[in-house]
Amino acid sequence: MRPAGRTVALPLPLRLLALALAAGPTAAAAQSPRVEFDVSATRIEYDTLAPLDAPSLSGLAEWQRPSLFGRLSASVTGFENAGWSVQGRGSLAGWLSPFGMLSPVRLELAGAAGGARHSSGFDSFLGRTDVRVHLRGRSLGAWAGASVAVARNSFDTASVNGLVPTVGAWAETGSLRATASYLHTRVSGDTYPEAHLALTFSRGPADLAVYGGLRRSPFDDGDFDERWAGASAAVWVSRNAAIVVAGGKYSSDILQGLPGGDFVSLGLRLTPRRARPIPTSAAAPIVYTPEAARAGVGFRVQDVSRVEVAGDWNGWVPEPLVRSGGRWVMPAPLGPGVYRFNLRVDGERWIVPEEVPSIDDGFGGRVGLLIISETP
Amino acid sequence: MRRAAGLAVAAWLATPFAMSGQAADFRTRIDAATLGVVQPVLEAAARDSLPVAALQSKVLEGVAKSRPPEQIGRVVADLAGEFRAARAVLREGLPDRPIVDGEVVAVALAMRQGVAPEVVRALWAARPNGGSMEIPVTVLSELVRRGVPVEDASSVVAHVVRTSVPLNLAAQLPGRVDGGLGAGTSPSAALGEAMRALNIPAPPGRRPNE
Repeated sequence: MRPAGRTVALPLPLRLLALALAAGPTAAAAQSPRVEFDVSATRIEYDTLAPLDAPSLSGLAEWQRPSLFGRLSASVTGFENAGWSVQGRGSLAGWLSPFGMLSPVRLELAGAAGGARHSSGFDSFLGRTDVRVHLRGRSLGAWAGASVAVARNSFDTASVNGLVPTVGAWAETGSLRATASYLHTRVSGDTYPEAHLALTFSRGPADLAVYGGLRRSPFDDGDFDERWAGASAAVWVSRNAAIVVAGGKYSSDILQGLPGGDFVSLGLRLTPRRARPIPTSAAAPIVYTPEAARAGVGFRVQDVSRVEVAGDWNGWVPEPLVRSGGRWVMPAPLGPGVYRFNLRVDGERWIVPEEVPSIDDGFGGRVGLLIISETP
Repeated sequence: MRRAAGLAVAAWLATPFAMSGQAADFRTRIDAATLGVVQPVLEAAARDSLPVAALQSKVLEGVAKSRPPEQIGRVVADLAGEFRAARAVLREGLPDRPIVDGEVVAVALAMRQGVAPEVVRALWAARPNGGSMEIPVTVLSELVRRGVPVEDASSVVAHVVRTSVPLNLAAQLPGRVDGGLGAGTSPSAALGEAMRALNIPAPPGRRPNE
């Protein structure tokens, strides 16, 4: 089977970057609710058509609770001498914690539906359900799962079914977030291995995003292998408005039969308030339940050969920590309370681990705070 | 009276740490010069029912960090002064309630962050039972230290206490605020985001996007 996308004349390339970044699960915490409207002018070039100018109006709404995430997007686009199109998409993801909220394991159940229609009468539809298991740490995470998708467009009488096993991982430091994923899409007996990488970064008035990917076609000649990459920058000129510049290449959609293309766009984004990702790795009072504390309170300290801990609970007598993986773990559990402590590394330097808040120790240094909560 | 306090401190100095697996004896851990500097401070602290163990811990911290006796004495005296002020706040506002050492320490740190005595008393008045306020007050301190206005932070923490939000959730607020601050959000807005993310209800009158 040849990729159906090559047979479609008028694709619907809107909110390109948003869709590309939405390929992964909804693992990123973001300020909520998020409502944005974009007015943009895009120039698109497909393999089979002359470049098109395409003014568009699009909207995005996201809503997030601790265990639910919903997203709606819609757009209207006019194509230069080629009619207009509308498209919409909605998704909802629910998170379960089968081993309790303090466990890093999350189960995600998600579904999405979307459709598009062109003024010529062409339309397409996609429905998808996803099941993923996540392992979530403070600054690293990974997931594995599968999606089942059903797609149809008006050029084909039969719908297309797809099965997409997926694995991925993310890492985060500050506002920089990297997400990598691998999709093993199977459609009508053909397999399309596919890898994605996306980076997002926010600093001051700028939100930046870069993405890229590659997909192998099941055909030996390699003519339909794809590579794509792009970037976008949103520069906020006020709390409610940003100039958005984007460009690059986006991929075809195998299931819906939409081709990829090159694009460059300039737009204005309006929102009731700017929404940015919330890093999950920010420093915080380390909060342990007594159960978690019994399992071992540990700290990440790199490039040292010996780490000891001294604090309120042990009379400031340094006790050696045990190296376990990339962490140094305390030998004895602590009961509920707020403790002040330091680590001594290599027998000489007193430090506070990076992930722990600190206060002035009165001696010209810092002392860390450790919180063991009461059992909820 | 003075003799009784001296005896109490002497007995305390000879007592090994109940919490310590090392069972370290305070008197054998510090040199004579340091003991000479800190003993008057500790005697006074015992007389005033201050958290002596916390002061003792500060002495041992200084010793462990090889600080000179004079500096240790100065730091411990300053800390005792903060404890004394914190205890007075609690005693004046809540004369009938037992005062726990950990709470005095937490209030002292909160007052160091600029939390006013009346805010502390209001927080105590919010608790529906006799549970320890050590962690809620520490959360308040951490929020204020991150730039959340005292009025906003205290109203949120008071609401958390009043509605018995689990402490392991409440104690995550400062870290979530850090996340919002890292993304450029104002401290109050970041606190609102943190509460939503943790599913902690906002106190009455607090606007959702503050």
